Amino acid sequence: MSQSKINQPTPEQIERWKQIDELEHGATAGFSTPEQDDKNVKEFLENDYIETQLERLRAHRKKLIEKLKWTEDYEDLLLKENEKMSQKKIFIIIMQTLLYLSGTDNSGVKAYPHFLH
Amino acid sequence: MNNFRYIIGVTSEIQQGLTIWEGKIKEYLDIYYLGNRENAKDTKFYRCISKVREINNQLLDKEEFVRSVIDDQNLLATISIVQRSNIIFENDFTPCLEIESLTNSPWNTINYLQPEKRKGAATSLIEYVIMEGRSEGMNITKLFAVPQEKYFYEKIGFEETNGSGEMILNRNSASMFLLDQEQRRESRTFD
Repeated sequence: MSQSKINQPTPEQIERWKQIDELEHGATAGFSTPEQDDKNVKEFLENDYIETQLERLRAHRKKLIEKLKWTEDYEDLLLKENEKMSQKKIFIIIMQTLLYLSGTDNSGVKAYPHFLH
Repeated sequence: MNNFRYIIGVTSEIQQGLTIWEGKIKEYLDIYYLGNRENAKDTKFYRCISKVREINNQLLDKEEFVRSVIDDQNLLATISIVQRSNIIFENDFTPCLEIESLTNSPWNTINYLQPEKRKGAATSLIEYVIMEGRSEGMNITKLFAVPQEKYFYEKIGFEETNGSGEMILNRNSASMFLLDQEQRRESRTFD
C-alpha cells in the first residue's frame, strides 16, 4: 500500500514561512513615487469607478471593432487575390491547352500544356 | 498552505474580481478610515488602492501581460502586470521577466481581519511567474519594491541591485525558493 510522502520541515523553514506569511499580506510591487500614489488614490476616489471603467471599455470596444473591420477588409483582399491567382492559373492552363491543340507554340515548337509535364 | 489558481491574461473572472476589489476599497475606506483617504495614507492598503488604479488603467492595453491568482473562494487574490525585459547580470545582457506592477487584494492588505483573507497569494503568484519565466528561458525575475516591502522580497530571495528599489531574483535563489515552496506544500502545514 502506498503512502504519500509528508515532508518534515526544519525549524528554520517553519520560521521563514511564518515570516513570509506575516510580511506578504500587504505585498505590492512596482515603481511609483508617493506623489503618484496620491494621484492614483485621488483619481480612484474622485471618479465613479464603474463609470470610468465603462468609458474605458467602450473606447476599447470601439478600437476592437475598428481592428476587426481592418482584419475583415484585409481578409477580403487576400481572398480576392487568391481568387485572381486561381483564375490566372486556369487561364494559363486553358491557353496552354489551346496552344497544344493548335499544334505549336509561338516559337513553332510543339507545345505541351504545363499540367501535362 | 493555501492553493491558488494561476491565470494568464484577463478573463471574466479577473474583470469581476477587480470590480469586487473596487467596491471593497470604497467600503473599507468608509468603515475603517471614515471615508477620508488622508487617514489611510502610508498604509499598505493605500498603496494597494494606488496599484489597483494603475493596473486598471493598463488592463485593456496590456491584457496579455496580466498575471493573477484566484483563491479557493474563487476570488481574485493577487494581480500583477509582467513584461519581458533585459538586465545586465554578471556582465551579460540577460533576458528577464519583470513584475512591473503587483498588488495583493484589498482584504489582504488592510490591517483588519476580513473573512476573505487568504495567506500566501502574493507568494504563490511570484512562484508561478518565476516558473513561467523559466519555461521561456528567463532565469531572472526583476521587480521594484518600496522600502517597506523589501524585507518580504528579501525573504523570498530577491536582492537589491543599486539602492533604487530594483530587486532581482537570480537563478539559484529562484531554485531555492521553488524548492522551499514545494517542501512547504508537501509538509502540509496549516495556515
